[in-house]
Parts: sequence; C-alpha cells; structure tokens
Amino acid sequence: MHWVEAAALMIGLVLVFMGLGMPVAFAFLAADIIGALIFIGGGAGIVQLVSNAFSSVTTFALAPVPLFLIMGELFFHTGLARRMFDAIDSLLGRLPGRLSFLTVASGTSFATLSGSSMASTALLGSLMIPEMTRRGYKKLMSIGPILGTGGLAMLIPPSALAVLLGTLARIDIGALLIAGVVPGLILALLYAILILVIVKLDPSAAPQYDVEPVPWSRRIRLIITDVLPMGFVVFLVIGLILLGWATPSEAAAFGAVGVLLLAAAYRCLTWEALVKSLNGAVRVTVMAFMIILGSSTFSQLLAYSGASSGMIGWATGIEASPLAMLLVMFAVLLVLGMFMDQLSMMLLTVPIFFPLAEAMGFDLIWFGVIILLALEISFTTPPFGLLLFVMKGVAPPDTTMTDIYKAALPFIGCSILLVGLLILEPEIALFLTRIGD
Amino acid sequence: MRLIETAYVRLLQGLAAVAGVIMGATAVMIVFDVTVRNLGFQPPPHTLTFTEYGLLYVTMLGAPWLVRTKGHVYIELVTAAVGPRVRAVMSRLVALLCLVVCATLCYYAAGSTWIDFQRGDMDIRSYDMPRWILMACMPLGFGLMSVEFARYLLGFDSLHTGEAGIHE
Repeated sequence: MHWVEAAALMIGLVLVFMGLGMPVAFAFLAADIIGALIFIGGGAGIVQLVSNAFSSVTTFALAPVPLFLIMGELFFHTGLARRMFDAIDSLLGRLPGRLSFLTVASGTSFATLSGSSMASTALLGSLMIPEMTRRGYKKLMSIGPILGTGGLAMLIPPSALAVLLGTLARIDIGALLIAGVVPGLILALLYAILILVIVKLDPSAAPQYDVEPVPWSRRIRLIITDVLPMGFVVFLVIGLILLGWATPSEAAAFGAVGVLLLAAAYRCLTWEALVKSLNGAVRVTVMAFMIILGSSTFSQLLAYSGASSGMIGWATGIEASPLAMLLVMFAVLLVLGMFMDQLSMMLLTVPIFFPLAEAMGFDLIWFGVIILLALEISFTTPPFGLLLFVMKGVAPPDTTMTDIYKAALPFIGCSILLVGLLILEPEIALFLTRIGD
Repeated sequence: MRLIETAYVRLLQGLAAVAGVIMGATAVMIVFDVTVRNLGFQPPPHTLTFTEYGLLYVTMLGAPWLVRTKGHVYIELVTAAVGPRVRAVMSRLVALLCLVVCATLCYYAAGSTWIDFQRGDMDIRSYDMPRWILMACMPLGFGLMSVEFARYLLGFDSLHTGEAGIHE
C-alpha cells in the first residue's frame, strides 16, 4: 500500500470512529485492530497489539500522571484551594479590576497545584463568576481570565499533559516540565497586562467597589499561613526536578504526599476528601491511560506501513522554511483542537511532528513547549474547545456561547503572542533546563 | 437477578477502589524510596518495577467502572446533529463497535496470558515476575468492558446524550 493510502486509512479510521461518537480510547484501539490485520496480518497483528498495550503503560515515565492528579484533587477536596484563594483575595486590596486579577493570580496557583485545566476552570467559574456578576463586571472580564488561566495548567508544572507529551515524544520529561515554567509565568503576566489595558480603556468593564482594608500584620500572617505552605509544595515538585535530586515521578510523589501532610496539618483531611480525591484521580488517569494504551501500536503501524517516513519525506522535500513548517504544524493542531480532545491530538500528531521537528533541526524540548501552547490555545478555540463547554456548564444561565467565544479571543491572542516570543527567543523556555546540568 | 446485578456493580466499584489504593500506595512507596536513598540507606529494590506494573493494573481495574460511569472521553458531533431515533441507532452501533474491540482484545489477551502461563515466561525487570500474573488483568479488564458495552448495546443505558461537545 502506498504511504498516502496507509496514512489516510489509519488517520481516517480514527477520525471516523471518533466522529461517530466512539470513546476516543476505543476509536484508537479499533483503528489499531484494523491496521494490525492489514499491515501485520491475521491474529499475530492483534497479539502484537496486546503486547504493545502491556508495555505502553508499564513505564515509570507515566507515574507522575496519577500522582499529579492525586495532588490536585486533594488540593481541591480538602479545601486547601479555597483557603489559598481567600488569602490572595485579602492581599489584593483596592486594585482596579481586582476580581479579574484575583482570577489570574489564583488561577495560576491553582493551575500549578492542580495540574488540571478542567478542574481549575470549573472551580474558578463557579467561585468567581457569581461574585463578578454581582459587582457589575462585564462577561469579557469575568469569563476571559478564567478561560485563560485554566489553560495555563498544562504549561506550568506540575502538568500531567506535559508528562504525557514527553512520554509519547520520548523526550526528557523533567526538562519539558521545567521549560514550561517561564513561558507559563510570562503568559500569566500577559493576561494581567491585558486586564489592565481593558480596565483602562473601559472602566465600566470592571467597576470599582469598596473593599475592607486589611492591615499589614494580617496580610503578613496570611502569607505565612496560607500562601507559603502551598508554595512549598510547588517548590517540592519543581525544585526537586530542577536541582536534579529526584526524577519527575519521584517529585510528583513528594507533591502528592506533601499536599496530604499539609491537609492533615490544617486539620482538613477527612476520609470523604481522601476518597473523593482518589476517585477523581482514578477517573482521569484511567481515561488517559486507556488512550495511551492504543498509542504505541498506532504510531508503530504508522511507521510500519511507511506512512510516517512518507509524510516526513514529503514534508521535508517541499523545501519550506522551518518557520513555515512550524506554523503549518501549529495550524494543524488548532484545527484539530476544534473537534478533538488534547490527548487524541497528541497521539495523532506526535509520531509525525516530532520526527519532522528533529529533521528540521528544532530543539525538541522547545518544540514540546510550543506544542503544549498550541494544545492550550486549542483548548479554548471556538467552537469546540473543551474549556468553553466547561465554562458554559458553570456560568450563569443567561451566558451564551457567543459571550464565551468573545471573552476567550483576547486571551487566545496573549498565547499567540507568547508563541511569537518563543519563536524569536527560544531561550525563554530553555535557559532554566540547563540549571540542573 | 437483582442480587447478581448488585454484586456485579460492587465488583466494578471494588476493582476501581483497588486501582485508587494502588495509586495512593505508589505515592507513599516512591516517597519512602527516595527518602531512604537520600539518607544513605539501601532503598527497597523493586519500587520502580512495582510502580510500572501498578500503572497497568490501575488502568485495567478502573476501565470497566469508567465505561459504566461514562468516564471515557468521547465527542458528540454527529450524534448531536441527528434526531433522537437516528441517535439511538448510532449509539447502539458505537456500543457494538466498542464491544467487538473489547471482546477481540479480551480473547487475544487471554490467549497471550495462557501461553505465558504454560511456557512460564517471565517479565525481566529488577524483579523477575511471571508474565501471566501481569497479563491477567487485561482479559479481565477487557472482558468486563465487553459486558458493559453489551449493556449499552442491549439498551439498558445510553452512551450519548445528544448534547454537542467533548464529554468526559
């Protein structure tokens, strides 16, 4: 079979099955079975699929995924997240657009601590929007920042999605996690600047209101009791990797146990919170790992049928500049993101994009950050970005999808600006990764 | 009949609970390992290997429960655009396809497990584990998932809601 037909068959099968409404994991496995029958032949192909499935998830590199998720779920269900949120609220004072800033500040920390965009979007949406609506904030100022910071979760470690990307692309997961730190912080800063500009141009978008002044002694106490301890957990995770003292899996385990101990110390660790946290972590882990289960066979079949090498040969043969090629890959992800979840996008594109990036001479860690950003942007791309729907679920009933789309666009603009910065200056992402060397 | 169903649902929940316990235990085990190592003592030798095996068990023990609770991510585009009658047919077609996938994998995974058992194959990592013990969770997981998709196929429950978007 010619490589074009092979590629069209494999990718087409997945798209058709997903389009029919098959759960993503089973869409990949179904394409794998058909592909194995055609390209490897008979039962031997499916035996190979079973064997690949076994080896695809029994890898230590994937261990941070459940551990980050336990950490995030514990953070939410024990009430530690709420505690930190209240502390940041008191610390902000009478800043114009303060609730939007509060969203960015707490969203960035939640994202960092939870590693789940969906969870932080849902939490911030239900927590912040009613209050912002009551204070007369326009939807652009209430919904936009939440959508923006929800997406930060996949950039700033601990990010479960970065771990999955690193595993699939076979790149250094620790380096990829660390490379997301500075771009993530820059993105949060860009969001803050955007809010300032909007408030400056249209003060009625975020009306000022009186806030009870908080004395400095209380502020310092809040920082010490409610902000620094959570910061310590983040240090545990990022610091241990950065200093080279622990692998990402080990650092993730420290993060999970760290939040557990913190919850115990604050006396908010209940049996119910523990069960809910493990329940949530099992749900997302199993969902992701079932998709990963079909991944190794999928990329193997792409390679075996000549589809991967054919596509890479074709793409490198058209003599486009590396930048043009990068933009094409970026655009492909954005289009896919309108209809697909992040993991499926990664599984479909990583076996092709990463070898191509290598052929183009890109730094693969830097390229990984760009891919994460593309995934983050596609998460909020109308009409089907997942976060837009999560937001619709928690926003007040009079919020239309158009309101949500309009609110998302300026924040997507910030992410695209960051991609531009990273293309101009790759060191923004890479310099931190060299510290541990 | 109801007793059997209750026991069966408990089984699915129980297996998912075991998955949760494995995940929690993994975190504690790794922290213990790293701490002991950094204090200059000899850490337990098989933490890494057992963590890796645990990941497969977590996936296979939790997946059937996730099918029951509709936790596997899926996209509703076409099923949201068509009328309820066509949607019901499509939904059963999807359940049938998933059933075929799971039953096929259950069959071949069971075959592989049986061959591993007969030949006494070992999975060689830091700890040499009989491979069939590791593989056994796959026919179990895919078998139970087949049962779950059969429920959707027979109309005990419906996989699709008709609401456009990505569901998980």
